[in-house]
Amino acid sequence: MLTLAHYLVLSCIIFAIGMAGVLVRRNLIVMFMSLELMLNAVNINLAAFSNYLQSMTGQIYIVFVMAVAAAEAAVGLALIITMFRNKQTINADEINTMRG
Amino acid sequence: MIFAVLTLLGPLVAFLINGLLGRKYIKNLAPIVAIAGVSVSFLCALVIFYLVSTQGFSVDGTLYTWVIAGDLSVPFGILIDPLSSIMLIVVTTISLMVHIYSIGYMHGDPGFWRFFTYLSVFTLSMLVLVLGNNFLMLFVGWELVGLSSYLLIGFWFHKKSAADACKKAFVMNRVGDFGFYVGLLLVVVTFKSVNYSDAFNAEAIHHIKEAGFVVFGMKLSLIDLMTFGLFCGAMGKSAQFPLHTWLPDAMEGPTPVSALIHAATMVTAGVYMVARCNALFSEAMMTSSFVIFAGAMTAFLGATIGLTQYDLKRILAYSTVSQLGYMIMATGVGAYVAAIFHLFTHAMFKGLLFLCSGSVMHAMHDDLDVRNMGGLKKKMPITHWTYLIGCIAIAGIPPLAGFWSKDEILAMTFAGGHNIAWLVGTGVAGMTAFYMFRSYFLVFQGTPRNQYLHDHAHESPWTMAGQLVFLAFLSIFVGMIFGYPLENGYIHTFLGPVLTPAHAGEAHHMSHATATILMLLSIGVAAAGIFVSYLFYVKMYPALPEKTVKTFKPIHKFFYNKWYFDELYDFIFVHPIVTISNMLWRGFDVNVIDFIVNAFGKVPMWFGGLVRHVQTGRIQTYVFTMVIGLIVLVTIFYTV
Repeated sequence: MLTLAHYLVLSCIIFAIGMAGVLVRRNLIVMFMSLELMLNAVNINLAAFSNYLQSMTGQIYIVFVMAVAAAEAAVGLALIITMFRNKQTINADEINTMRG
Repeated sequence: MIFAVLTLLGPLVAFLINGLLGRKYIKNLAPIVAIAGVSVSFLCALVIFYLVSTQGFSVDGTLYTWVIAGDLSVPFGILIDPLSSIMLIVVTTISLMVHIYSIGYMHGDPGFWRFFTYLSVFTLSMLVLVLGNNFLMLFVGWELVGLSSYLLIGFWFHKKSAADACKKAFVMNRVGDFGFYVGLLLVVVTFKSVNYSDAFNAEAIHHIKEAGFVVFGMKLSLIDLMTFGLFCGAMGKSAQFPLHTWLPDAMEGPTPVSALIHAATMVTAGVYMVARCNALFSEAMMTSSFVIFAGAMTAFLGATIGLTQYDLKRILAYSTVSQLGYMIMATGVGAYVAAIFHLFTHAMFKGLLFLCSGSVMHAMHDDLDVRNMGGLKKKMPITHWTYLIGCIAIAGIPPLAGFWSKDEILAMTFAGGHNIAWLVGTGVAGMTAFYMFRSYFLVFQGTPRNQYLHDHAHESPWTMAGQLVFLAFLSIFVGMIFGYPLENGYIHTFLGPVLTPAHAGEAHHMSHATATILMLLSIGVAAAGIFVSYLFYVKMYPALPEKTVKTFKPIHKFFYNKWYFDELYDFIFVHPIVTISNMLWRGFDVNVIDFIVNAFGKVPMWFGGLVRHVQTGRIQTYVFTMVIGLIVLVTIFYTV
């Protein structure tokens, strides 16, 4: 029997993996993918609670998050492409024009 | 009223047209506009004078209310009475003559239109000064003539001497004007009004007669203080000792300007103002004594310096200073009519003399040193004769203009019991005759001393010479027309009602014999002056003058260097101020003010340098910081 705790733990693990990816990897696309992972961890969380509380609110939020994620993916990938065109790289360490 | 407004509108419209369109569209036609404007004023002035003299016409009306502040309201008002009508005649006549003269004199100058614009401004401001019916309008006109004088002295501003001279004139006038402000404020505070009619009200004056302050144990009456303040303004504007030093320097301006502003009209504004305020001045005993002193001192000072100068225009300038001293002295002894009369005649002959000097200057290629001239009689007959007439007029030989007014001032001074002032005045009359004829003999008689310049000398064109002839006629006749018989002439019946000599009332009780003796004496002194001048500069030139200079070397040097007034002021005022300013600049400003200001910039820069490393420009650093922050927050949130 899967309890709420199982879902939460799974969600935690995925979120942690995503965060680690964002922090550690230098490839912008990989970082971007990790970001998506974090969003989906949140989605799992929302779905679990929706089920647990027998309320639709959580699931509605999931739809919102997915919409935002889709939009973000579009914009983000566009940005990455432009960045690559300008700098011939997508290494996050080399993109530091704003350095103080 | 309509004529008064038209008088003002003429030059105003001319100024606007020339000022706005002159540079691009009007250019060399500027004199037509300006002369049309001043002609309107001149005709109106004639009409006003005619109305005032034949029908006793007078106006004290308000065009509109100009300033309302609390319970003080200042009208833009016009006052026409005998005094302002005679001033109108002086201002517009000389102004018209100078305008026409300037066509010839300023011909070919790149600032031709600018010159005529300034002349219109000047005429307008002088008319405002004369026509106003309250102190504030007087003051506005007063400052405006100061401004136009500044602009016109510095007309050739690319010449350093001219730029310096106009600054000097402006600053010296400001010193006097400070006193004028104080006087003006006292008038406002005392009478709760700036209108002449309120301030010169016999009842109001009687009311404040006893008021006063005690300063350092000395009792100063309010009226003395008030008039002294106003007189300070007159000292600045009318170049009275000790503020006279700007006037001779003002000769850096174009000669027509010297004639109009620095001889005939503006510098007499002080005399006009004192005469206008005669109701106040005649009650102020202490100020009156000071006025006499300043006037006599200035007359003497101007004459002694005039004796030794070589620059033709400076000789005339010092003679103006000296003649202004006469007028001021006359106002001091209460002879206001004589003062205005002298103002009137002086405007004619001094305007004439200056225009003659301009004509000479034209002929001599702007050389003004009388030592380089001589023998111009044949070359410039018109200038020669008119200059001679001007000299006779200023020397005080009857029946030319100067005699009538000058003799009257001296007689009134004597009758008022001011013997020292009278003695100085008579001495100065002799000196005036001497140095004016000195300049005449050196310029027109004798043999040419600079053959090159002499060969190129020529008579001026008719636009210039015509004015000389006209003014010469006036110089001959105005004295007789207005001044005959002595001390009871037309000018007295005309100005008498507005300028009652108050504390010189006894003046009229001088016996006929005394008056005749005084008259003969003043003619004698003048004749002696001319004769000595003839001896010095025609008969025994150059032996006698050289010998005299050698004998009285220290005195000559003292006079030649203008009593060292410029050096004295340099030493007392200019030099310390420059030194202190330098100290403040290099010491205080650089080391203290700049230090503080720079510190305000440097502290944030240092601090910014400290924390700038936080911004690495790498996204992951930021994200990492956010995560750490989040963890810390969550931890705190759950443990507390």
